[in-house]
Amino acid sequence: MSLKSLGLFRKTPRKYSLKAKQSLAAYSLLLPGLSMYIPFHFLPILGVILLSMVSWKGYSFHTMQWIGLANYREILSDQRFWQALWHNIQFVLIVVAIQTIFSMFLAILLEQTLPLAKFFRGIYFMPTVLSLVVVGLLFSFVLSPSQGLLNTFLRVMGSQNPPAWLGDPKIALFVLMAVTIWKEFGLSMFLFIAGLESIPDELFDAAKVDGAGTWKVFTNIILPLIKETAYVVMIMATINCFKLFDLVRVMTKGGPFFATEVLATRMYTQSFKYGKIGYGSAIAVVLFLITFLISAIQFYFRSRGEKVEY
Amino acid sequence: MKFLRQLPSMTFFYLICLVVLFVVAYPVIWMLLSSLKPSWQVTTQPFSLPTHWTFENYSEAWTMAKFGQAFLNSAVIVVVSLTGILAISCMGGYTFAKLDFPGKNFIFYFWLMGMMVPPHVSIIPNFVIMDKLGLINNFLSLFLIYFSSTSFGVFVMRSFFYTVPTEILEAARIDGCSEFSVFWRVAIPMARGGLTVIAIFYFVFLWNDFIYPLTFLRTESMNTIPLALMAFRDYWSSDWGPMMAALSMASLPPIIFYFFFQKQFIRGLTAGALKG
Repeated sequence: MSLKSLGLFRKTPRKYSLKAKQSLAAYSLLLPGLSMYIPFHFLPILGVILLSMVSWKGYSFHTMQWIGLANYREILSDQRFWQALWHNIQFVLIVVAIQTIFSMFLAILLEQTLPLAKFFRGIYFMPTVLSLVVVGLLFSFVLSPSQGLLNTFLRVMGSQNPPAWLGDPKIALFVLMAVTIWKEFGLSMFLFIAGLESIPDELFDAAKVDGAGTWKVFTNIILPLIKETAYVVMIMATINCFKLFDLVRVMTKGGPFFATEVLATRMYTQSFKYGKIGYGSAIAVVLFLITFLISAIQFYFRSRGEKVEY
Repeated sequence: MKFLRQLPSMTFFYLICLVVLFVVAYPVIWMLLSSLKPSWQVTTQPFSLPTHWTFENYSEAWTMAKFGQAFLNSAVIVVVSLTGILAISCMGGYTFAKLDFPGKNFIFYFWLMGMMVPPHVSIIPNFVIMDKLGLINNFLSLFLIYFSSTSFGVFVMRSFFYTVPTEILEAARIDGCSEFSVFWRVAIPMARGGLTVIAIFYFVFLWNDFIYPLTFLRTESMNTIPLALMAFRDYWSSDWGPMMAALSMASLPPIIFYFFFQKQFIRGLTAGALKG
């Protein structure tokens, strides 16, 4: 008399549904990733929002004091904050425009059957793989007022008093913009190239048959069809402009006299150098809101765009 | 796409391309050449080729900037972090592309949200967390942060796994493979293409990352390459020769990798920016 004959056990093995099996596998596979993502990426974002409402020097939790929106009031009345924000905005206005137009122009050029086009493109993209620290330090030396490459060249060309570049509060920000464009335009250019390659050749042949001139081809064929790519390029460049930290920190540390201070650097120095964690967090929240808004716009455009029918 | 036919304007545009090429390439070439000159020549004769080719700058930079240690640190951090990121991205991408389970869309978009904000936003709370965990000045803090930065990887791998035909997975299931075996034996070997793309993207990101090592690492012996460069500049800014050598040493690995794997680099760094 075995236990089996008692009729207590199922006659056939239990069949788990495919969905149940898949769900178990799915959750197991997602567990490692989410167990990293949630505490170290997602929760900290909530953490910044909370931290922005306290006054805290850091380290011991005992010194933490809830002060509500006082940090935000302080930000709004802080001239340096608005200066930093304005610097970020200037970056966006100038860099995004120049970088987009310039990289679009180069992409169109290099899509032609020019000799060595592939070689050119390869070189143009190279700055993308370099570290911002390397780029920043290298250009700090190139632009050094006394012994730098650029000013030595200008003096040889006869200039008596070449500009101080990074040492001049009036132009330092624009110098940083130039370096940023130098580093980033290669990536934008390749995005445009990918966008251009998706335009079917028949359109160009048809345009030629119709006798359309270069400008007409540009405005009626190219521009409408790379609008999507242009949006992506512009949004990526915009977010990059708000992410600015490494280059500023390496080249000017925000100087001279705060002429190149940006949101991220101000947040960093306020929090880690002056121990105003709550205040720095408030700046971080502002940064978060701005970049989140821009990303949301990008996601919206991406989900809305469909293949253009011609 | 060839439509600019007129000859005179072509030469003009070609000239523009050459000028841009010069502006892009010359600073890097100058850096490399200067690293082979004695310091005094870098500043007094910046445009000439080195007259006394010297590798002294490199040995000076290596010892003074403690480059050997920095190289090792960067390598360890990148290799470990990259492994974790690739593993997590692969698991996540496969799961969202090929498996069906409750909450799939919600979890996916929840995970994707990580891509929408830059790392600078969360650095303050992350520092607090690491401080409380006692992980400041410990590579583990960096590993944890980087293991959590997988939103992009998951996104790309999901797109990639969509292109893998489901029939193969179905066949494996019919043959009696458990779901894990399906993933481990069938899906992963097919993931190579997508993994290459994100491997390159994350390699460049990790190797060059500055703000996290800056915040989490405190002692010189823990410096990564970007940090070592900064320390070098702060202490020995007047020694241009060794400085150029240090910068060259720091840039050569990515540049060399890039020139060998150009296509994959470009694909990796432009992926995800385009649709799907």
